[in-house]
Amino acid sequence: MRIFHPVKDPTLLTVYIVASLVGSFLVLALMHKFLSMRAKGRFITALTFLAGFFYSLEFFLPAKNGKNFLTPWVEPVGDALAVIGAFAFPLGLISLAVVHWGNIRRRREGWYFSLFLFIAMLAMALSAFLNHYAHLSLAKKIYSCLFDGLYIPLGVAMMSTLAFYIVSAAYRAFRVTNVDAILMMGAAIIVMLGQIPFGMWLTSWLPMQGIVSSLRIENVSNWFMTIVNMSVQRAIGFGLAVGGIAMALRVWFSLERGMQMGGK
Amino acid sequence: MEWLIQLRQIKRQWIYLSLAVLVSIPLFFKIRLPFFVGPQAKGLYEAVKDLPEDKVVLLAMDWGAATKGESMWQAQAIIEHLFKEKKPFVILGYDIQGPQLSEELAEKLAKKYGRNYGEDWFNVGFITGGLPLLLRMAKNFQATFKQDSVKRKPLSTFPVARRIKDINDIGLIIDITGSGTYGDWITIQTTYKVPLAVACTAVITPDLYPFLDSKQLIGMLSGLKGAAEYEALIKGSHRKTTLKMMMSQSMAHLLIIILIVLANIGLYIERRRRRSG
Amino acid sequence: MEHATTGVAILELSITGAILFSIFLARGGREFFLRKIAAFSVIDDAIGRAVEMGRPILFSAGLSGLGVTFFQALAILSYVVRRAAEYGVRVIVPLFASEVYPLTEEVCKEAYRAAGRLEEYNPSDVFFLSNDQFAYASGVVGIMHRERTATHFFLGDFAAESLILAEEGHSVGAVQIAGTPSTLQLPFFVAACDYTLIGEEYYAASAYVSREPIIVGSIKGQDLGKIILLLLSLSGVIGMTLGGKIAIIFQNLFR
Repeated sequence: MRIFHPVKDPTLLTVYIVASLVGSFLVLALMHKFLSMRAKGRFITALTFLAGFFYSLEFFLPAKNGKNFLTPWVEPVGDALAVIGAFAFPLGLISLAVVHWGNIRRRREGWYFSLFLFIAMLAMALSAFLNHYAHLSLAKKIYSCLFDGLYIPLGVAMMSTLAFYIVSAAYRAFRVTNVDAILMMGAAIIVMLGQIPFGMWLTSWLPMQGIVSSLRIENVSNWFMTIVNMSVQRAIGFGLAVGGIAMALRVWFSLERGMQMGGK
Repeated sequence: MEWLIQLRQIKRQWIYLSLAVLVSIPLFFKIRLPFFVGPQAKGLYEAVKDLPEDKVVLLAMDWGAATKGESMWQAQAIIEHLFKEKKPFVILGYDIQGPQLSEELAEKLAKKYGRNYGEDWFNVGFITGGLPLLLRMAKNFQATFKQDSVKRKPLSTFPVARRIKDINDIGLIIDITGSGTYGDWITIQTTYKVPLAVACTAVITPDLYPFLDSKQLIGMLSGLKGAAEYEALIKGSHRKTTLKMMMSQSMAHLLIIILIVLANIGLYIERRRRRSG
Repeated sequence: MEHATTGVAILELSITGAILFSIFLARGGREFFLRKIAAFSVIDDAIGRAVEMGRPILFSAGLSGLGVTFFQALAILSYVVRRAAEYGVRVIVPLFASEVYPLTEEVCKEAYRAAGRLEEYNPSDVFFLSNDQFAYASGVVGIMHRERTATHFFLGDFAAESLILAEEGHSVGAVQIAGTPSTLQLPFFVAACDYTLIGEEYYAASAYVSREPIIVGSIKGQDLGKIILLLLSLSGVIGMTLGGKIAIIFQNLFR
């Protein structure tokens, strides 16, 4: 698609970017000023429908050598949507800045944590930029300290707490109150034992081959995972997939609008 | 009898302390128990061994520091096997940290096996763009990735990279993931019929069995157990360490089972008392 | 699969047709029965608990970005915020993805307007927290403890942080209602939360809270779609078992 070929001339590229930004803002501003709420809603509905229609049509239309007449448009449309989505990136920063600056300005409880957020953001951003572009050794050390020394271990630490939470959740939740619970617990214990050397040791006296070998705990655990678990995963997967299609259709045809406007 | 009923209400702090102590024991005391390798790990092992000479392996390092406890050991074992068997590979990943952390592993192991960056492996680094990017990569690898992430040179600089024109030059894809990124690779596998294996965290494993059953996956490593199985198969440098960690995991699982049993004993006695009194 | 094969096109159009047909019937006034789901029946009670205790509600859409999962979470959020606003209870909505922030803010504002309490809407209750998984989880846990939230809603895409949120939520004594299309996190929510929406119950949420005929009709259409898949699976099992030409037909059905 010639229209979507990269522009090499920097002056022309700058002109295109500025023109498209100014043009987009103008169009949006004019629409915001002159269109009624209802017209805006209809415009959004039409745009939503067109976007979904494009991808659906491209998927369903017969393809020769993996292409139909819409296929060359898929990549540029995807890139355009990604660029539009990227404009949402500053929204998060703005939201953070507004909330935390408000905390600092009004000296709300714990306002110093908000101050620390800004310090941490600036320190990380500055050290990363200076390390990447200016190759300063001090910046590299600070960046390494913050990223490798702080950010990564914090993530690992949070993940590690899951081990403790799993134990306490299992202890609290697994109560034998009915037949279903007994079956579930039995299956859970077998699968757990099948994963660990201790469990394998319990049935290590059984032969490795032959019909009796299927009673070895790792084989029973494998049976639970490959037969019982797999079929249930598929069943839930079918339901979710169909539910996803229904939900996607409702979004495509803007049938979810009523709820999103807080209406009845 | 009252103390048995109290077993239902053990404080969280005691549970956490017991877990910390029990998990630490195998790290200091040698505990030897049998360990058997499952068919899923064997599937991946055979796929790597039987890889044709003219093909390259694609390692998708879609994991980060948070899942290092499982993914790093899997990545280590797989990279070591590839170096041992002299199978060339390319590293890339949806996660910013994955390719970076695996590069460190590859460099460490490369010294042991006398392998060289560019000749035996190269690293494209962090990739964005999701499935459309992978589909583009499948059609034209060289046009999709302009340079590598380590030396920041054009791909044509590296002998291994020059071998990859499109998906037909990839003999095996191994996705090492801590999240749901395998979905895109399954789509690539279904479209281009390139063999695919997944090494994932244990919590994701149940989701993958349907794909094993339908032969969309030829092998799977499940969590730390998968890493230990693979280390045992390849007789890797870290098989003792991974086995030690499996013993720690055994302790955690045993604690869960014991606590559940104790809680239910307490529940049973309380119920009996209520019925009789 | 880059383009639909004949088999895929027929299957997808059948399921889509079934859903649209049910929506069409619902628009025409046909009433459909929806079975009771415990999690939906207690939403009002959970909000009432927060009212009684005078403590806020926490609504987390997990790691959801702009997609169908998030739109479903928004539908429930709209209902929860409207009900909470009627009783003067805050709903704190920390967000993971920045692109959903304006939409979420708009939904909450509209919900307050619908409840006739627009002047009580606090914009700082809806905010972007972090787009790092565990930083988000830590932030939400901090909110739970500082604000001493009475009720938690975990509805959306969740990953490993689901158990952290659910367990910590339990430790502050909150009532917790969770729902996610991710089957991997459901066991953790079932173990740690009071009520959990399993599988496609999550996608039926907007039908339950709104009872809008069109949405209820689409739920019915989902059931028809599942029946189509069930019949296809059964015939596939029989066909593959019989073997021969029939098995080959089924093997190549979607190729």
